[in-house]
Amino acid sequence: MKHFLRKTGSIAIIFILGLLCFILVVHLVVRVTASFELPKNTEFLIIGHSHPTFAYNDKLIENTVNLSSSAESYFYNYQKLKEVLPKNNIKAVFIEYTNNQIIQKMDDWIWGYEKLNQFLPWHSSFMNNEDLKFLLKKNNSDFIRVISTSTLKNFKRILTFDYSIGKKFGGYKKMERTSTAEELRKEALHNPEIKDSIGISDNNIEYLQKMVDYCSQRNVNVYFIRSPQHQYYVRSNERQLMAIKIDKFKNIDLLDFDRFPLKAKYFADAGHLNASGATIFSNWFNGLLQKGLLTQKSKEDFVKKELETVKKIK
Amino acid sequence: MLFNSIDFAVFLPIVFLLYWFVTNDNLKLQNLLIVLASYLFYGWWDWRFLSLILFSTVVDYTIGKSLYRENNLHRRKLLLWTSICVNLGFLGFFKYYNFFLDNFISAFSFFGYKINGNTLNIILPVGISFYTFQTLSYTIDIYRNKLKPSDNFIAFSAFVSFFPQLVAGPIERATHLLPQFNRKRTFDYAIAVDGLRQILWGFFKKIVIADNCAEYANQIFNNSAELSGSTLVVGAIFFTFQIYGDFSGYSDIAIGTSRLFGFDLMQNFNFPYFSRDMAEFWRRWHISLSTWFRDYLYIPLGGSRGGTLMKIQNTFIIFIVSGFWHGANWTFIAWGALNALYFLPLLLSKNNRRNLDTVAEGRFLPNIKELCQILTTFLLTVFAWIFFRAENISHAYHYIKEILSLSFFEIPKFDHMSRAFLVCLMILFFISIEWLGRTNQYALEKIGFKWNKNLRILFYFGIILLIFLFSGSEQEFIYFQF
Repeated sequence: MKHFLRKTGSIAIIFILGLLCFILVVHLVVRVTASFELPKNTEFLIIGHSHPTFAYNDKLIENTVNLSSSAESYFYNYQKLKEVLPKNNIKAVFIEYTNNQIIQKMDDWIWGYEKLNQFLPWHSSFMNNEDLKFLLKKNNSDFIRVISTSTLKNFKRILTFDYSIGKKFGGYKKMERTSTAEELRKEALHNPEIKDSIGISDNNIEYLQKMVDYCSQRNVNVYFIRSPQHQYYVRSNERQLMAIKIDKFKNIDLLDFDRFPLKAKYFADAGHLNASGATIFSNWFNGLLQKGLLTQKSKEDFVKKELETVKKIK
Repeated sequence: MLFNSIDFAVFLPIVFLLYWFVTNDNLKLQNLLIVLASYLFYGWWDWRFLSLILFSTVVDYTIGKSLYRENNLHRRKLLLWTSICVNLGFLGFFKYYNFFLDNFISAFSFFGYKINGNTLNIILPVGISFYTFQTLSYTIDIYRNKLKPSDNFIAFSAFVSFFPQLVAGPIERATHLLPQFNRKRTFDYAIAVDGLRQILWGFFKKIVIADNCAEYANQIFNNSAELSGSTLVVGAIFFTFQIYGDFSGYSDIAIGTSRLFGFDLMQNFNFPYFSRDMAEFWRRWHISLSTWFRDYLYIPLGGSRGGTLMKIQNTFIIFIVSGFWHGANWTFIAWGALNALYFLPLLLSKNNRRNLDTVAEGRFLPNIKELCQILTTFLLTVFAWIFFRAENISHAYHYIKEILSLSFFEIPKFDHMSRAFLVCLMILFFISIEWLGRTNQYALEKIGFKWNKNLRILFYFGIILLIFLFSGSEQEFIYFQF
């Protein structure tokens, strides 16, 4: 019996240590060899969740890479930015700042199992101890569970020599679906996401602040953008959104394209443009950059004026 | 408590140490520890349903004793039927109440009568189908004078609630398991190590094969209306491996765990996917259930002794009841009936006991004929699993209809295909190990015995590593719902 315990105990310790070594080595190899380089002419980055993912077709916007990813919170946006910024010659970063990014639900987008499993494997090799500890503290059981997924993903990367990560962090995606105004109105009636929300995700906002600070430290300009949303999109926390902007990000320009005048047929749903909508909007946004948006004294006013012109054309 | 949980990883060593170090000298105390540990194990899920197990235990213990004392045939029958009614009554209420009510209402409305009846929000107690059958076997065997009743309530309680096999079998016979609670267990190093090895292989089957196949099987079955026939075939194959990995994996963990405590449970799966015909498949799949039905239903009905009509009738009864045992849905009944149709030609042509040996025994590979037989049996099984997995008959019908359409010739397409390729590699590895170990109780039993010690340790480490790497898709055991 004692022999059994001694033997199984020692084998278990060897196996556990072996497993830990394997996890560390895999993550270390990826950390050392990964490349975050974007196309050489990249000057502007777009970062955010699904709204910018479907709105900015970066093939139509000069010198810009859209690194947004659906359902990605500021926490993971920050991890991405931290790796990409030092390796590229970026002049400005556009960060999505919209209604659903401040709500309590974003906490779940940071450490809930589904999102943890989706995003942690991308970033686990590169995250600092502080952020890893943060996730471990918030959801230790799922964090431990996701370590296996992360290790497998990174191991696969080693086996296939797939170290070029930068552009794979996100990107423009198109949706072909079209909507009618009636469909969007009905959707708004059943949108619990923002209506029912009373809380705010301080954690997510903290990481937005970290992104802003990080860009400032590297002398990279930061702009908040709000991608086009249909008039029926539920914005019941608009006052909170603006209050946080004034309170915490007073010096950051908000380039608000929220009311970009597109008909329902250009939307896949109230919060997301479809491919046709994205083409119109991306061409317009590119034009805006060419007209010198970033050299304007008051960029917010410039955007407002330009939006009025769109109204007249449409 | 799930086998694949942190809770169980803490629970098992504690019970193991208490069992062998604290209660080792006292059999009663050791059995009591098993009862307490088993109730804790079960209560971890929902303590309220412990009362059901306790009630079932008390009823069968009392009836068993009365049956043994009673000589009057009428009274003996009455006692037996009391036990059957109590056990099947619970099972019927928790598992089939809503099904029968719904179908009753539908049948009446079909003839133009409207009946009002409210279905109840009933939670199905985990493992009820398993321990009910186990306790029934006890009473029936006493009735048949094959078994003496237990005169030790604690030992009997431990037999009913024994935690490794409480929630998903193997469904043990009282004649095999109960005597083990009445004799002193001694620790055997070789058996314990073998138990650990079987647990390891069980985890591999569950975590690497079943849980990862489940991801794709669920994705494809849940979106079957939008997918091509070829993709649906892939989905059915994934489910085929999922259900085998899930259930036989559970059985391996249960048997391995029991061995750590000095108990011997029956083999529940004997490499069924290497069967050469459906009769062989049913001798190798969920053995504890099929032999239960054989002994307590098929043979009492007359088995295959009567005329052709009798054989057909009994075959259908046993397969349909077996299907219905799995759940209150017409899909399970259809699955059972389909298997009866597969089995009948073999029975009627007296070919059902043609393949009693292990395929390609003493050879490394099967010959062409054996390979074709294995593949045909496998495909028939895959087809039957579609009914088993489908939400309802209509779902199964549309699923099969799409498979039989021209879209069968399209290239399969579903989400995360590159990862699915990795899972397919794991399935290949799994099949290879199963093939190499097909003459043993479980595949890993003797693999690597002749290797260098370090190589063997490396091999086991490789399996642990695979379990770790593929552990991200944790799912519940399928058979918990039965």
